[in-house]
Amino acid sequence: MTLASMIIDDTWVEFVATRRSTLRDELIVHYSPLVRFVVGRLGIPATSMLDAEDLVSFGTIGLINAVDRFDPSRGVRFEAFASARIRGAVIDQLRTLNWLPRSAVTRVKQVEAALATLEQRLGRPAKEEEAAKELGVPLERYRQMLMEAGLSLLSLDAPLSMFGQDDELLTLRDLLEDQVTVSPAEAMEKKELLATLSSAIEYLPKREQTLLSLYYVEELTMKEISKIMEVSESRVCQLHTQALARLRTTFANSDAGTSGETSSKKQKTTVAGNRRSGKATA
Amino acid sequence: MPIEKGMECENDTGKQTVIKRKTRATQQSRAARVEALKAQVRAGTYQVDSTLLAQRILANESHFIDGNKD
Repeated sequence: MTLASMIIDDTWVEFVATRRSTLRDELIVHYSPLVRFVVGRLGIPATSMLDAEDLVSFGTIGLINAVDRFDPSRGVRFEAFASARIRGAVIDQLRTLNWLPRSAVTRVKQVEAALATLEQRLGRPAKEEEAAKELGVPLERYRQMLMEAGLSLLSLDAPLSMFGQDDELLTLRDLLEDQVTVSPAEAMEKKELLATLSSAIEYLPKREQTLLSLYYVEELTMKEISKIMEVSESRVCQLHTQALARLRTTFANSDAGTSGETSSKKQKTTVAGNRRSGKATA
Repeated sequence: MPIEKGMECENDTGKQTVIKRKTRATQQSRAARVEALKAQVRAGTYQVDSTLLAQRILANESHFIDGNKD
């Protein structure tokens, strides 16, 4: 443990005990770089109406909220806890501004259906031009659809308000079952799930594999990935969405008709059941 | 209370300086990491661990578990 992390741990202990505003400010200042990092990973392109600093301001609201609500005794890392709230705050604000098109969900389904049909017909991952043709749209429109779809993909870190619920700062991750105490059956199911997804990843074009690894394993932002792959940030966002759509398609196809179907259904039931009961186990 | 307001102002400026310094330091170390990864990708030596990647995706993207409900 470094000296800096020991100091911040002490600050947390004192803040939780006293709720002093100076300590609160110290914590907010300490974690402020996290906002920029999380916002960068959201991959939301700047527009004439909205620049990067606006998004950082929205995210800072989430950080402040996280500092106020964090309970160190739960054993969750603050960075993980705050990231969910920063993302949630940005998405909530964008929704308030009507910036996120609700029709984007339809786009995801259209793109996935086209990719699935082509993959079955061609026996390989479809190229962008082929997907655009299948959808009956020009290539540029297809890429625009990917951009719109990208923001609607649900994530564990997304607030449940995205599911139309009131408890806006509760995330799906909060409702998932305790991952520490996994039964042997669940461990086996998880292993199956991993193997299926791992095979689906290996079937992706090399470029998309690299992109996903840079995003999920190296934890880079869309902007950083754009520098590495020498394409624009919005292009990274499109390729990311396309890769996830391919994976979802392959994953869903290979899941049906195998024991993985039971596994997947069981997990869905668990999440839905916990959501209904309001159980927060993370 | 003008003195207190002045003190608040001073504190705010101090905080902004700290935030800027922290952000700059983080950006510098990340930039170095990005350059190293770029060199690996360019040289074709960057290896994707599909199992590790699958773990990370499952941990972050709930729609692989929850999204096929329609």
